Amino acid sequence: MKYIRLKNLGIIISLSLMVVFSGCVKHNFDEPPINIPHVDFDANCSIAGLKAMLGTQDMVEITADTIIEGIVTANDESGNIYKKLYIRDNTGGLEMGIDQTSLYTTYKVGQRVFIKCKGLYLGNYADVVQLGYPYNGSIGRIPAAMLSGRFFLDSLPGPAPVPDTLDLSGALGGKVSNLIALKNVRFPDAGSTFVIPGESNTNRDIADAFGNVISIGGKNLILRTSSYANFANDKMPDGVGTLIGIFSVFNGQYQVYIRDINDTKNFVDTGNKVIYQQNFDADPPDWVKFAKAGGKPWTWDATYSVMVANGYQGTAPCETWLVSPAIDLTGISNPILTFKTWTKFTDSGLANPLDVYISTNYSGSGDPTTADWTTLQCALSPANSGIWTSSGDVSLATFNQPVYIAYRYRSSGVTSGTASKWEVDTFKVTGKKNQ
Amino acid sequence: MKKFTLFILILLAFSSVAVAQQGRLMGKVTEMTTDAPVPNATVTISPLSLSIVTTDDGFFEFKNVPFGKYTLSVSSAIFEPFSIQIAIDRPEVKMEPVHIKRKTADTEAHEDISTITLDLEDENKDQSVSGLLRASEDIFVSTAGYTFGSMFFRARGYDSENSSVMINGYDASDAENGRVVWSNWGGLNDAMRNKEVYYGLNPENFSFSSIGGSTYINTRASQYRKQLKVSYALTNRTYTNRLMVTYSSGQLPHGWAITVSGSRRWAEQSYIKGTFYDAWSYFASLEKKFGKNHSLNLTVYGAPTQRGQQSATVQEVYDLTGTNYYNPNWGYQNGEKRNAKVKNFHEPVFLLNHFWDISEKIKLSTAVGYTFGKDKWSALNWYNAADPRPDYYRYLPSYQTDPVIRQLITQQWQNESTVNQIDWNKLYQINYLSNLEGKQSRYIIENNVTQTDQFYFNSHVNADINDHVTVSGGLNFRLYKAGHYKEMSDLLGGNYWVDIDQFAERDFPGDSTIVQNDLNNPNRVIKVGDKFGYNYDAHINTLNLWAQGQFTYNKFDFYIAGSLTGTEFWRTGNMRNGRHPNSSYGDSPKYDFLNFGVRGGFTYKFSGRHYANINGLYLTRAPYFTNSFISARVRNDIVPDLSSEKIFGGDISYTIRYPWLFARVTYYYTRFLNQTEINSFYHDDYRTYVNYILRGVDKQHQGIELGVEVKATKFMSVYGVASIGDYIYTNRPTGTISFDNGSRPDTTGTVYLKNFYVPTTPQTALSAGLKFNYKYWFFDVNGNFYDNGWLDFNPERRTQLAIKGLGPEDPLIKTITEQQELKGGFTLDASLGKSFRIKSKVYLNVNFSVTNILNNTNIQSGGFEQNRFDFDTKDISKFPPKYYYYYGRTFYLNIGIRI
Repeated sequence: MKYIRLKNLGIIISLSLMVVFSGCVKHNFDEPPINIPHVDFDANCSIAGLKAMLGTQDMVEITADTIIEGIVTANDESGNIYKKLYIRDNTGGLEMGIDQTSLYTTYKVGQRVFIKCKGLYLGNYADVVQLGYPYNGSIGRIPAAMLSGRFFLDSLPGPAPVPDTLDLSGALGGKVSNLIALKNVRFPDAGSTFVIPGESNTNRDIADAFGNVISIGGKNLILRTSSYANFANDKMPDGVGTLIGIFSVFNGQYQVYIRDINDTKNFVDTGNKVIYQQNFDADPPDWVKFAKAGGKPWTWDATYSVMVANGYQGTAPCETWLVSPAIDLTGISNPILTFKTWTKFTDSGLANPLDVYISTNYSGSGDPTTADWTTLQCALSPANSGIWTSSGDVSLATFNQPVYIAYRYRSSGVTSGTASKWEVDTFKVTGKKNQ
Repeated sequence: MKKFTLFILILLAFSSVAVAQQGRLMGKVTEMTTDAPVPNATVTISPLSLSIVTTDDGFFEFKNVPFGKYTLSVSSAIFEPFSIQIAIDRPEVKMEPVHIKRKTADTEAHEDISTITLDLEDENKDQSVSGLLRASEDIFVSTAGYTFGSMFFRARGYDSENSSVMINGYDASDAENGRVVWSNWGGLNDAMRNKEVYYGLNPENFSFSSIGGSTYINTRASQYRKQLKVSYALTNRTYTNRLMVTYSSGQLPHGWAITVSGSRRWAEQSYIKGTFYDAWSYFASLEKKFGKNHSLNLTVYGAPTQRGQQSATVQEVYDLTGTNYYNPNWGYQNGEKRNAKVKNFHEPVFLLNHFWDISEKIKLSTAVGYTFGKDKWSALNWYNAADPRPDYYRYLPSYQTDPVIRQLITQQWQNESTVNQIDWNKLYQINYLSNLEGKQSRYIIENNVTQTDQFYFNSHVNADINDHVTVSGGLNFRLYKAGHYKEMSDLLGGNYWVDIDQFAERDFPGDSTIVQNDLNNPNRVIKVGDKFGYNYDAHINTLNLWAQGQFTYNKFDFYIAGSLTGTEFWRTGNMRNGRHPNSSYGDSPKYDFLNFGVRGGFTYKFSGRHYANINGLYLTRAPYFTNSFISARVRNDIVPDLSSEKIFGGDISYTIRYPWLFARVTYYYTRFLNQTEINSFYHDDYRTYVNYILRGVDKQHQGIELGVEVKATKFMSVYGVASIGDYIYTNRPTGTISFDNGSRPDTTGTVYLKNFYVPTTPQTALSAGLKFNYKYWFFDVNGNFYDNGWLDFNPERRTQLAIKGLGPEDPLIKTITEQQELKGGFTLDASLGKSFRIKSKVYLNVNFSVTNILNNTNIQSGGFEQNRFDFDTKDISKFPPKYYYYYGRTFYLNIGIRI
């Protein structure tokens, strides 16, 4: 009996094992091989040719079998560009709105793409010709579902495209949506964050190497940055360098979007840091405005965001002071003061209506004339010129303590010909902090 | 163990009038080693040639037997024949249970066979109707367990922490949340079959259980009948194949006994697509008796299991794909189905028992248990990349406003597996491109791991003081520690991952401190197998003392029991989280709770066939660890005003039991007060845990249970079961929402839940059926109806904030705050079985059952509102609810050989 049991047991166990091991469940998966995409058709239209199809219309559907080819120049990796992709060929750049996030995971910078444009739309959005799809009657983003069958990758991403050097004196319209490099520029707001906290986008001026804000057709060229950019809270670099980014325009105002912080990495920092800066974007509450005589204190001009002094129609010949808050130069080597002045109208009775002073013993409020002031030598706007004039680098090197800087305006009278108008802007003290 | 014998012995009482010179004989046939009832045994009285077959519960009854002396014989195909002399000398004669022995090749001398002794000593004992119910014999309980179970039916609406399972005295509940993890012994059906079910508030004598009752599983090796059993099951439910082998030695020489069991359950895919199943299980129990009074038993079991999970989704997706069983969790990788959400666990239990019969009347059982192991579930995670889940709301047609695009997406959803499932190849390709730049994986699979370490001790004593009084009591304590962390499972072709929180990074750009998941190891590079994200230990220690007295008299029984529990728990953070640098690392304070409970019950026996029973319970319960920390994964802070919950309730029943009729009706009423509920779930959209804390929750559960079974003929019985409940919230709790990654600040407010239904379980469940039993053929058909189930709700939608700005008459208020009812429905189930005797000791059992024969695919077995609400548009259809559906038609075929 025992023998039979064991035999049965053996058979059953063998059968069981066979069944069990024939039923293996697979859950270790092969890693799929890397896919090197290949496109076996050719483009039949250049980017410039495609953009020209729009003509003067606001929006047009592409009904022909138009195929373009380009290299990705910018994507949404840093978050500064959102739901947009930029490509270019040797005829120009193209902006495409695509209703999908994280485009960069597929469309790397340097990736060659072919686009079958049939069924997509061209439209003009605030002066930018873009490839998209209608949304509420005007050009919008291409729905993600339309990418398949239209957007084709060709080979793995190639080297990053080299930006075109932008010559601001040349024709700019053809450069829009392309990757450009602006050489020898600086940021007047260097040291501030790219995005002002609380704002969703911030526009920052771009200046030439001398600090002159670049303006095209009467509108400042701006660096526009989104608060979603991962560098939004980074400080804009000091010094002079080459700005790389996508060149764009919004209703006639040219602007640049950088792709990530590396697009401003080649700025040569002089080592100088901003110790104090006042751009008079708002009426500075911590500046003392003291009218010693004539009843005409310095005022803030909301239209131009500057400080203004004018003795015209005062109660008496003017003496009126504008004094900075204390600026601590302790431990700063080679501190430099820069600002700009502007003047119009003549004061026949005074050769130098505006004086610039520095004091170490002003109390910080009240009548400045009770303190000791030393004149600072600096370049001022020529009389009655109406030209914004940089002060040049005014050295404050002899001061190694908290200081006050003051503008003293005077007029010899209160009528035309005896009172000039002066404006001050872009007040800045820089220096190198000693370790 | 006299009391225990009484417990399983169903003593039947006199009915009214005795006929002169004729008597009635009643008894029960049970299996010798397990005391399990033996159905379908033929009982004969010679020389009268009266013959009857025992019921499913093993009972038999002869009416109108003339007074005299006879021979009573019991015969059955699978049991040894047995006979005994009896005397019918009274109107009602009640026998002790007839213990018969299963036929086996190794049957030894017949001296082992029990003898039947007529119960002539004490007539009064005939009326001692203890052991009112063997709960599993209660048609209501068995239907609620087997038939309703597949509908996520919860008896009396209770959460599972309100009932317990003891395995030889080892508490199988999870210390952190009180829930019993049945899957830890999945596939061990044969090994775990010796069990006693104590439903509701009926007394048991091995612990002080909560309001939902308890189950005692006995794994003593000597308690299994000697056999080898092999069974194979084929089904299309959660797995396809099951092979199970169990061997029991029976009692061996020198006091040894052994039982081993093992099984494998597997499927490439179950009823739900993409859900593979791969489970093994093992079990061994070894017992050695020392002398007459001592026995040691060692039990080891475990069930290493891996299975692909199903997730609920929105109705739009079910409609798009044309099936209510769509599963968003899988996609094709190199042409094979891969599931992103895989559950993988193995928590073996080692259990040593000592059974000591101190005297005939005093028994002491002691258990020492140890368990350890890991429970993992996987999920996709991604960093600065598009949501890989196919059913992300922005990928659905409804998100589009342009009808042309909507149509295009609909077509893609219906035709393209890269759109309607996860596109694994694309995720790999994106990671490969990231590798080319030297950057991190954009997509990964991570495991959420719980690593348990638990020591458990339990000892309890039962003493029969006299014929009427049994006292029992015990002590148990548990030392529990569990690590919780994330573990890198698969970089999906990428090279590494960085342990920072991308949402914190997005919300606090440039802040390199707040983004860190572990400030002690900032910007740590993570490779496969590394721990990351969160890492903390839960420590829970409990000590429990209990005592019970059971009193049994002719016309009534009663019992009273009390319990005292001390609980201590704390959290140890193993990471310093950047969002909570000062409250995440190291030990939290220790939180101590002292709780007590009392329960009691009274049964009045109108006769042996009619009983009325009333029970009551009051207890306080320490908050569970799971419900105590606002966000245990990242910080030590506890829920404000953390305090014990209170439970009180009772039930009242009337039971009728005749050989041809069983009926029970029960009304129950329970209050849960001051509960804390933390719905801590992985928010797929924020890719972080979100904790919804409701505190001060009061609930009321009441309802009626009815079970009737009528044995209409010898071969057929009819049964009906009804559970009609009313489970509601009775107050307005305080709700707090907390995001683990700090992407949204914690918010607290009143949640307007009064008179909301306790969600998910059908509050109405009905069943009616027929059972046939003829010559070892079994057939059962039943119809079931489920209704009054409610959608799990988003507390955020029931706050003032949600309806802010709406006028008092605005119909939108109702739309936002109203609770939605789940779709119920009717199902028809049937099963057919046959037991064949192949040769003398070899039996073949075949069972085939079909569930939901009518293929009703519109019954919602569960569902929840997404915990997202658009406060601006107040449009609830933006994040619609997700549902689970009751399976359509499924079958189960089981073939077993027993030697």
